[in-house]
Amino acid sequence: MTRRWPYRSAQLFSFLALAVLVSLPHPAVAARPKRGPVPSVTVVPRPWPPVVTVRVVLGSGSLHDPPGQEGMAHLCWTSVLRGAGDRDRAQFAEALESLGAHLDAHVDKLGATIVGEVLVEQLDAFLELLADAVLRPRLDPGELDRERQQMLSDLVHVRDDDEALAHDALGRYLYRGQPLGRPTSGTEHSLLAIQPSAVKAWHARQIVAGNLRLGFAGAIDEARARSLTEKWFSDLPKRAPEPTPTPGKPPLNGRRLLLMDKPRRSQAQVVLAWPTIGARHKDAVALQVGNAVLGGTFTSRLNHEIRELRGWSYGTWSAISAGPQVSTLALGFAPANGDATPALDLAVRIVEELQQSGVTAKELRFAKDFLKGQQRFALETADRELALRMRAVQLGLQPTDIDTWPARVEAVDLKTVNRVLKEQLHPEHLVAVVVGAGKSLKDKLEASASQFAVEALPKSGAPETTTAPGHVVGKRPPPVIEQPPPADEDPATVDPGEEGETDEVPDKDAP
Amino acid sequence: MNLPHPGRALAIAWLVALLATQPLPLHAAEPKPQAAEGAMTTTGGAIDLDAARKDAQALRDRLESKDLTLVDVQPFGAGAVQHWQLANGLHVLLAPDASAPLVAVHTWVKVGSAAEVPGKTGLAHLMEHLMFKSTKTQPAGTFDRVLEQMGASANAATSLDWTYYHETVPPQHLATVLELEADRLAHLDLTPLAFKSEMEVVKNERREHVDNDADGVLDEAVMAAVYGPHAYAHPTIGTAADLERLALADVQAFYRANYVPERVAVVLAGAVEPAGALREILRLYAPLTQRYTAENAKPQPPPDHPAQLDLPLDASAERLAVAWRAMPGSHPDHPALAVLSEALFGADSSRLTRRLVHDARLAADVGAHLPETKGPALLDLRVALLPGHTAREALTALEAGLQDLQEHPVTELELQGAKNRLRMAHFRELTGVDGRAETLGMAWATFADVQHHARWWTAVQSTTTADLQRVARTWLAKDKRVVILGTVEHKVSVARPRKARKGA
Repeated sequence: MTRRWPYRSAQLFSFLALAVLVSLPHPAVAARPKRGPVPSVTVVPRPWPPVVTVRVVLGSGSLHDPPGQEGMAHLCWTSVLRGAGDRDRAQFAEALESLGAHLDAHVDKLGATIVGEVLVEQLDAFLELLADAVLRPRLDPGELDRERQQMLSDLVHVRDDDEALAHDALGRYLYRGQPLGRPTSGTEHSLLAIQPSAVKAWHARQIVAGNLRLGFAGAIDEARARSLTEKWFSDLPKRAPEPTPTPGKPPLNGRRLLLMDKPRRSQAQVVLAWPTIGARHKDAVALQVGNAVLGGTFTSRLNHEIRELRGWSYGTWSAISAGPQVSTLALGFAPANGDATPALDLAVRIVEELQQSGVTAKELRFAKDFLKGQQRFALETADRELALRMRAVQLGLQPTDIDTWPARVEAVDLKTVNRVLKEQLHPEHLVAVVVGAGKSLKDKLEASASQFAVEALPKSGAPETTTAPGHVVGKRPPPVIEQPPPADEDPATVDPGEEGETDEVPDKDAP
Repeated sequence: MNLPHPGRALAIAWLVALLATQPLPLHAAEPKPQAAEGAMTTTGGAIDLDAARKDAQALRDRLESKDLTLVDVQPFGAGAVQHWQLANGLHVLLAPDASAPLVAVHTWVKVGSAAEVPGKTGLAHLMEHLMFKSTKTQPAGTFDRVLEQMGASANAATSLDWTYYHETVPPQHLATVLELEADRLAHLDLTPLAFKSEMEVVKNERREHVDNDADGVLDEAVMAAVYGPHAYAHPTIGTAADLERLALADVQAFYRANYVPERVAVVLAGAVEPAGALREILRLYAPLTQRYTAENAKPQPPPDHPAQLDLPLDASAERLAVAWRAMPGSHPDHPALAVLSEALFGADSSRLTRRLVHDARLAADVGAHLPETKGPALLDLRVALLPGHTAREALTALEAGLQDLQEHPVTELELQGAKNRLRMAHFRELTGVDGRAETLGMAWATFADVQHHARWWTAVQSTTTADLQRVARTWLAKDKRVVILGTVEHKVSVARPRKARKGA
């Protein structure tokens, strides 16, 4: 048990946010080809411990999924670990794991990352396996089918994790009808439509020198990293990578809320989001400063009001999930059923107030110190630094950004951050997802002061297939955040009946 | 190939420089008998332990404090750990590494949920939450605000045997953090307002991680079935009923009884200069005078009979939990059982994971955990079933695999793979300064043995296939296990592809 929510949800976002913060392709040295084109290489050397982390970043993610075959990138890059070169799945896993090593594949909109770590004395054998997986995967139809079954199973399992379910639905609901709204993990329908031959062809199209980047962190120097890259990853095709589809114009069309029914829940997972500027935008740093005040710290406005003063949620956060052209600013919390609507209303009022009145000079100072200080933590270990450096390159940031980050944060002044908040917080276009007991929540959400247009999940189970328009809300005067009454007596002596609305735990036999 | 760690050399040079500029007379108690000069670290390097001990003794003498005792100096990670104790009982563990950019500041308290009595469960964890509120001199929010202004990370956790508070900060802020930690250890101001709001937070934490989470429900059922009347049985977060009953007075009494110097260790790892840190610790902690007054109930033994039960879950797919009643973390068989668990369940190619996931195609995921607890641990196996399959099918397949283990013991190759993976995990724990402080603090709080981790790791390295066969017979017996079949009412099946082709 931890005292407080360890930013679990926000880690999802803050990882990407940090990539913006510490943007940086540092000595990303392009390996000199000897036998043919090789990927570019980034090295973060640290002599201890005697372990090397290797990352392969492929510039093809779910934005490259063919229409109707959502999940293609995911299926392909997770299947490359199911047998490669002259080893079948079992042989590959045994060879890898007997080294004490592991490989994990992660796919997002922009690309795929295959990352692993190995004892330094086993690095050569490890890279042979990694190169086989990336360049020469077997992609056997039988294993592809098993991986597809695993993905279909994951789609079922995610229904048991309300927080993950809410996050997954949020992106699909926010960007419905656009490339960013297509589900990275696919749907049952789209996964079943993918043929093994199509996966092989898709893989062959993506593996070109300009679409691959390698990174090494830990007990390795640059010369060895370069030499090993040339040994195992040379002779890649020279042709240009497939262009990444543009994400489309951000949707701003009123307030809408997707209610995903979990009849027996006593608590709701609430997430809200809106599209905002991408990582390359000149105002991206100022927006990070504003976000730190909104919900980026344990002392932020959201945390103070929702958690500290009212105890309405274990975790309360806001974070920016960065993309090159479009980012997403999201916030979330998990209140008991009876507190869900008041907490949602309060969160919306906090966003409205921040947009209209901006941050104070004191808050600005605090946020800048926090963000500048965070850089040291982000770069403490070699593998963390490597991950951030490579992600930043993926976002198209400048090589000098890491060095200039503290100065750029410090340069944000009150006028700028408040202008950016005015321009980039869109409280009138909020999109929300609530996972909870629909029967008890629906009426209250529809009647809430926040005026969301509430819709249920369609039978398809796909949030991106919803169609209801958002509710247009007019300009409102700056909201007043009411303070909770002081607790001037020992709560142990208070009659439970005076504590206000209790949780509504629906009858277990409820449908 | 092991690379040298330049940080250690720098750390020694740093100490030498300090000694040269601040010679002070000898003082304080003698450390424990010394091991032979030179020692291997658990990460495969060699350190000059004799020199490290001499350095620490010289530092003790320079500090010239009657309140400070050097308990021991031992190898740790790529360097050494100094173990000190103040006259009031407070322990101090220092693991300096001059190459680290940050210092981890941990405060470990020897009290966890196992110290609670029925009807008052959740106290230790609620106490942990309230430690971030106001003190007699600092208003609520100060702790977080000061830490975040440094850009630092800070949090805390409660388990069965301990509670700990951790911060990672740039070294120039160490004194500030120690001041805040010492302040809340002695002068916490537990108010009705703080109690009320934080109790709501804890109730929401319980809703999120237990009441509305099938895996959380399963966790609680496993612990209750395995431990019965033993204090490990009740949930660390507290039962929902107890959370309704707890009063501010309970927390105040718990704080007074347990948050006392003799039950606390301050652990600093990374960019810490020992002389300066010890001076600050002496200044801030030596004046504390609280004494340990907690009354410990006589521990009840866990049941010794097997059990199997069905647990209906509000979930989309079934789960199987099999928990074998095992031994305390200090037991000589613990390392071998950990290796056996890794060989059977730790990786995709591990024998029984492969059987359940790839051969029988019943499971989406298999995981096993053997905690290092002061009292009897459990080897806790969880199987997440593929939709459409049942926990009972998985149990049948698991039992067949365990039966097969008797005829086909773990091979040398399997053993070596398991050891290699555990070695990687060992390095992972010690890579960042926070992991190092956690390793030391947990060993102290759980076993009162700073060297526990090193001993455990040494035993892992010397484990043989015969050891694995012996612990399998001893500890994976049917009469030691509890089985919970996590069932679901409405089973979901996964569709098959329209043109699925079997095989390659």
